[in-house]
Amino acid sequence: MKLNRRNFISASAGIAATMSSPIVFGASRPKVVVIGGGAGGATAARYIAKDSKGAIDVTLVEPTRSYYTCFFSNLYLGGFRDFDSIGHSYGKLASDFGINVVHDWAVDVDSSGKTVSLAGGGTLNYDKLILSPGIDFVDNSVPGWDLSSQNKMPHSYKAGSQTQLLNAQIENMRQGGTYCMVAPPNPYRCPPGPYERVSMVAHKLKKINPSAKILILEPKPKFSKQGLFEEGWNKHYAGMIEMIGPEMGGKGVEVRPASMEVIVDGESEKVDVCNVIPAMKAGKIAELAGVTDGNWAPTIAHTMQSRKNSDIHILGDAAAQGDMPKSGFSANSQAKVCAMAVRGELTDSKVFPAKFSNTCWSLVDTNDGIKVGASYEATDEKIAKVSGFVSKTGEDASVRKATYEESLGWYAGITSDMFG
Amino acid sequence: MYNLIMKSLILVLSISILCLNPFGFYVLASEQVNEEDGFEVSDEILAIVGDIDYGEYLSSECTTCHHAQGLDEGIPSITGWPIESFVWALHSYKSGARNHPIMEMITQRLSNEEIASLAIFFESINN
Repeated sequence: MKLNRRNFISASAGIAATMSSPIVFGASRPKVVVIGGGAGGATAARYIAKDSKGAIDVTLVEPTRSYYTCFFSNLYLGGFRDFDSIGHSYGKLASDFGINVVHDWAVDVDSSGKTVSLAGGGTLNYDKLILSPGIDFVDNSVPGWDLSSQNKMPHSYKAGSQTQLLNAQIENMRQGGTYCMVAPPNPYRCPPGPYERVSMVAHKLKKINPSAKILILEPKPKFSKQGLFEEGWNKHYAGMIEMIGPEMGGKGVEVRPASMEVIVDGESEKVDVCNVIPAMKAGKIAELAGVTDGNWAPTIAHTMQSRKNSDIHILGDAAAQGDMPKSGFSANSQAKVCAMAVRGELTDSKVFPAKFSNTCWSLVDTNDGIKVGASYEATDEKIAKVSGFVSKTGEDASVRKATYEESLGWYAGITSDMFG
Repeated sequence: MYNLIMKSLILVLSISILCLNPFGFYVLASEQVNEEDGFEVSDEILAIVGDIDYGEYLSSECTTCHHAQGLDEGIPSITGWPIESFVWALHSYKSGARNHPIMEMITQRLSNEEIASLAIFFESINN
């Protein structure tokens, strides 16, 4: 049975009837608390609530009332999407699925007492805790940059006001100015993301500021879909994009936000817009919950359980799980395995073997979409890649157009899968 | 025999989808009609009766992309299909008779029973 509004109301009526009997059903329901309402957390909360049909009490803790997806935020920068089109409300998760949506920050986890403390002062008890906090930045990974400089040099790698800020800076850049990206080291959220962003910024600048330059300071010797991006940049944006690789000073860049300078191999260069994407780590709450090892939280592939605490599951970017890239698609895929495992433990529902998949679409220019994807299985050691595919250089324009259109369908599909 | 019925059925589906959505589906639809000549699914495979609960679990891998309420912008709707059409379509990807990198990757690790289970589950979703 699919839980929709009508049968949810009838399920609620059943709960109310039970509550009038001596045993208080609501109090005995096992509790799941999910921290983080993105592709991992929202999906896990929704699937547990939907498939347990009211048997599990699900609370979702997410500070933002409107969630802006990181995926497709580059398309907003390129002018292909309205900002509003990447924003989503949690209303349906509350109204149609009975999830208790708490807009607050989780500030601590007591894993022995099994409670979560909220910034607003409340405390939540859990039987199972699911952490899907996304990323935070590694302190001092780009010397000269910290959160106090994010208005001068935005990261725009958590979507929302930062994305709008970067967009405004690009649109207001002086004619012939330079947009500089300090690209992140591995591992990081959305491997093709920085390079799709370069493509989208180039697309916009070509229209409004055709003499502008793009400078990529690149710490990695190679990156996701590199051949495809470079082919597209030569084709659509010839002469506009320059990349300084790790051997030429692209690694170890310093920035001076006050004077808008970047220091590359000891040489200072003035830029007009500087998009600093620092090194990343699991969202802070994972560390506070005691489930991290280094920057990330190691997980068991079969269930997405923490290797340090079997009552805690970790999803998405924060997890050290093996071969899957840190992407919204991956987080959504892992959430379904996690939801099934959690229901199995709490309500003895059927548990099927874990399966994972991922696809990352990127837009290079109008109707020029590319993609990379793979399927994965759970082994005792990790989430292990089974097989994969990637778009080919020199593909026909009709294939690229179909790939872009497919990404629009995927966006509609995954956001409906997350938010109902 | 079944491939002939399917070709006409897919053609009808393709035309109806084209009417509904002139954008996005045209390339996929024309591939469907042209590249599956001679592709047949055996009677034994068509006779497998799937498990709807297992199909519901497996369906979560599909609904990351295929809209669960049947929207078909850029990616075709897979809800409410007749079971045999669904089984035939997935086997055409699994065998490589129809080409799409994601669909080939996903179907190549689905067993015949899993395909039957997905078919019975998605047939039950009416939007």
